[in-house]
Amino acid sequence: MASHSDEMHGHVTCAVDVSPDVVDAGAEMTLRGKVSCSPSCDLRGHTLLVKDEAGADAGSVELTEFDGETNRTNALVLKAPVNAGGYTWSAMCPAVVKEGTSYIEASTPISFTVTPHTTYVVAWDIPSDIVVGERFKIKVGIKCSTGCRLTNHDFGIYDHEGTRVAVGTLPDERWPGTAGLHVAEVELDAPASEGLYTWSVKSQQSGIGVPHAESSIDFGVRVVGHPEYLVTIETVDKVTQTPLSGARVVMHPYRVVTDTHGVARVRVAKGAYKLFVSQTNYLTFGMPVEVAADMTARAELDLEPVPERN
Amino acid sequence: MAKKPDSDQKERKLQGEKAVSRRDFVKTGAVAGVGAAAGVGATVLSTSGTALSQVSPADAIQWNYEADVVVIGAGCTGLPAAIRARDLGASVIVVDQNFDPGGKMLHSGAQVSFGGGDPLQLRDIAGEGDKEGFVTAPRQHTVEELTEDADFLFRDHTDWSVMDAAAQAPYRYNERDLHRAYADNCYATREFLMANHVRMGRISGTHGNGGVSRARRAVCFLMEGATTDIKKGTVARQDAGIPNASSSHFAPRPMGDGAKVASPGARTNGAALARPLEFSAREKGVQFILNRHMDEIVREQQFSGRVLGIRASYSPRLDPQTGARLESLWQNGNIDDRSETIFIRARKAVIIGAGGHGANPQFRSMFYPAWREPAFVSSGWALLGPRGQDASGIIAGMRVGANLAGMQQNLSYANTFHIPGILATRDSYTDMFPGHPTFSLRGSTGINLPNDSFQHLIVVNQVGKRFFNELLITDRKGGAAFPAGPARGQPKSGLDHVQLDWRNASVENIRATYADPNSIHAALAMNEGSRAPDFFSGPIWAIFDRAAVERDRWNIDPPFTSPTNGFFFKADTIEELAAKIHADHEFQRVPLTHLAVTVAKWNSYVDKGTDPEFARGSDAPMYKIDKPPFYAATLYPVWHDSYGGLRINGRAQVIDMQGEPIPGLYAGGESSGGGNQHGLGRALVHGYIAGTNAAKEGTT
Repeated sequence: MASHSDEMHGHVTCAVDVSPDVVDAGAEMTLRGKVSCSPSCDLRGHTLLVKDEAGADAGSVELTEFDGETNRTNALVLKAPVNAGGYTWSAMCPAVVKEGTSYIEASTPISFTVTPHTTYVVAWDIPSDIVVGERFKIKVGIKCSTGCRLTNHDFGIYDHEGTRVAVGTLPDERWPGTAGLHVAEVELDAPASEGLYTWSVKSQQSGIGVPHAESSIDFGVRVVGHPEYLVTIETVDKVTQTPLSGARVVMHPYRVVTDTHGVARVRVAKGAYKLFVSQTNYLTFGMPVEVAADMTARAELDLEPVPERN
Repeated sequence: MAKKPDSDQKERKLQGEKAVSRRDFVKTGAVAGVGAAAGVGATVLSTSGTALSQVSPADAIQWNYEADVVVIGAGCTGLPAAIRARDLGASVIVVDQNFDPGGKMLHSGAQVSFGGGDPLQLRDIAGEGDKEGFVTAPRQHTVEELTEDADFLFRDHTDWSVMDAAAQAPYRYNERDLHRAYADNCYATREFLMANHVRMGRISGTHGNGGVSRARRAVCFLMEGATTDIKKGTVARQDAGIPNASSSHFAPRPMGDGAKVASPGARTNGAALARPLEFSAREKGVQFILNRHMDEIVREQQFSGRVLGIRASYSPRLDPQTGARLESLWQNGNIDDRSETIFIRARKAVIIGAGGHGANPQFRSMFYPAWREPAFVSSGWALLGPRGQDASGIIAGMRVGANLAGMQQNLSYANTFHIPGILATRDSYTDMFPGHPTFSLRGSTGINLPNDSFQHLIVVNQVGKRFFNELLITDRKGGAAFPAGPARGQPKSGLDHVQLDWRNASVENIRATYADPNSIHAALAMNEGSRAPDFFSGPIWAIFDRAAVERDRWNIDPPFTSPTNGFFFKADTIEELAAKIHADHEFQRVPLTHLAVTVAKWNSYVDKGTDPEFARGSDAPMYKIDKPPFYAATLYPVWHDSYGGLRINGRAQVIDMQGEPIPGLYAGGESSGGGNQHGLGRALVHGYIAGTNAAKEGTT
């Protein structure tokens, strides 16, 4: 055994890869360390220590592989901080004496960025025609990219001038058929004049718990004048003359569906329209109509031919 | 779910690596390995070899099997060829790469257009039904619409003047000798089919490129009965399948209703043609070596001498869940040989009926570079497997000096490659349901949408951008056929059409009738995700929401979709949808960067009632895509027909580069070129002619 006076001094170099280096707040990140020595040294069994910015222990991982030059650790999975920002942690390889050589302590910085969670906003069930000044309802859905519960998360509705016209808070309720889309219904006042307006829903930035970034989606608000005339549309199969219930009638922006007798009634403003009637497995019926009084239209739909296969 | 490798490509590559030249196996000697069963009339040979220096090349090869006629492919060329040759006294071995005979014919609509005064035209003219009393439906055409002779049919099939609605000329480039023979053999082929248990209903129109002047199409059927009995012409309900619900091993696609062309209870589709022909072939002693891919045609010298036989490799198909080999529906007549490579000697001739090239991206890209995209398959992809429609018959013929014909005719028929309206499946042409052994390979039937249902969705390319008016995406024009008329590109309809009239091809007529939307080409165009060297266009996605599903009553549950095959996705938001597609679809090579913006833009167009990009809104209403959850389903182009292949003459002999027949080599159907007729008619007639002439060859 070498005496203290015979002891040699060696150098240690360590490095740590972090993946991903841009990580969602509170999400998992994976660290892998490697340590090289000069002269070469098998450090398997020794530990790499990870410390946060305050110098507190964040974790440790053992060196388990040695290829003759470099020692490597297994993967160390750690939770990222919950506050957004840039971070520099450190990994330290403690001093060690191995086979007569003294290796001094070495450390390396671990840099990564923590970002707020992304949120996605959806807005639907917006009426296609809203009469001036009347109230209307829409549905708002918001989801966190990493699946956080967003109960009590706030959002705002902004009009075409950027004015906030409503605020809402997400309940715990999720929209049926989705994996985690919180949904709320909001009642709004239509603008006082006709036109197509672009409004938006904004998911507010949240600093409570895990941060969530602000996000938004636009939606159209089509405001129409008071409809004056009643248009009645009778819809039948052209060959059998059987009424078609559930057929979709569109006179943009007005939309309505036929009843069990194949009849739809819609009040529209005076003007020129393209009347469409469509039904599953039928060719869409379309014709121009000029509405200047109450009127009735009849749509006879042809079945859509089935493509030949040979 | 993780991305899967392109298994088709891998299998094809392996197939290529196995190829060895005839010189190689003459030099090294053929592998030993003899089949377990001897065929009727076919000979299982000994494994003893003979010194090369003392023998001809034919004797130097250690043949594993021998027959008078060796037929490659058990489809609509191969089966009639085999039966016909057998009828004429030849021993016949049929080799097919798949586990079950039938080829593409099995999933077809069984629409057989012949003409020239064929027996069914005459039957309808006489106002008669069939002897069994199955055909009771009234005649669909007048006597005049059914009356013609072979000369008239020949003129129709070579008429230079006919232009279709895509401004293509489907008939002028047809090989004249071949179509003269076609016209002369339609009568005999129709009669031959009926003599081999094939029942056909009333003549009803003519389908794509079967001629524009007379009605010539009859659809094959079987009558639903208590049992499946080919001789009696019946099919049990469980074999016929339940429309829109289940397939069977007997019928990969549920058989349809044949009441209009035959009588109530008639069930139609390719199973009513393929299964009777297969039954008859087996009954007559034709031998089948299935799971066996023809890799090479053996000729005395590469470019001279007789064709001697073939080399074929073992190509089993395995059930992905059980790992078990898929087996044919019927077994009688099968030779089950599992050795890696075998050699089969043809004493009289080899007939190539191996199908077309629609599933070979390298081959098909000769016609259209965009079709090098490996994501897109040929119709019947799951049924036929990755080696189906792989151009192997054509390539093998080329390797022994064959010439090609009709290479431009892929562009002359709208069904060659197109976008069918079946979402959420790789084979967007074929509506297979659970019940067939290959269903698990595709995983989903697909959501079959009529054209008008496309008003409820948008379609985007691989980067998430729209590229065409969705209501026109599945639209295709072409297929000049009776009763003709402006919708098909001709100035006059029905009996008013005039053969060989210059007015048919006039600029005025083309201006008046041109109607091709060209949507398929927009779908195949390069986009921001296309990368050198192939610049693949990538997958195409239909994007829709919950409201669309409810409004148009789509069934998006299994088996129509699969949660695991990577062709259908559901997500709470559009952003998540884009991420899922990129992560889990095999051919999605780039992220759909633009999808969220595209959907937002579309919704703004709906609010405005107009689509400034692609003019939606003039023919059908527009609907927002905003109600979660959101869905993405593939809308894949498919290569259906193949035109262009081995040049054959009127005897179905393969012609070499000097214009001479290659002795002992015949071909037909989609392995051949110069015949631009869609569907089964040309292949059946080619098979009949090839079988007739092959059987008459001298024995080597």
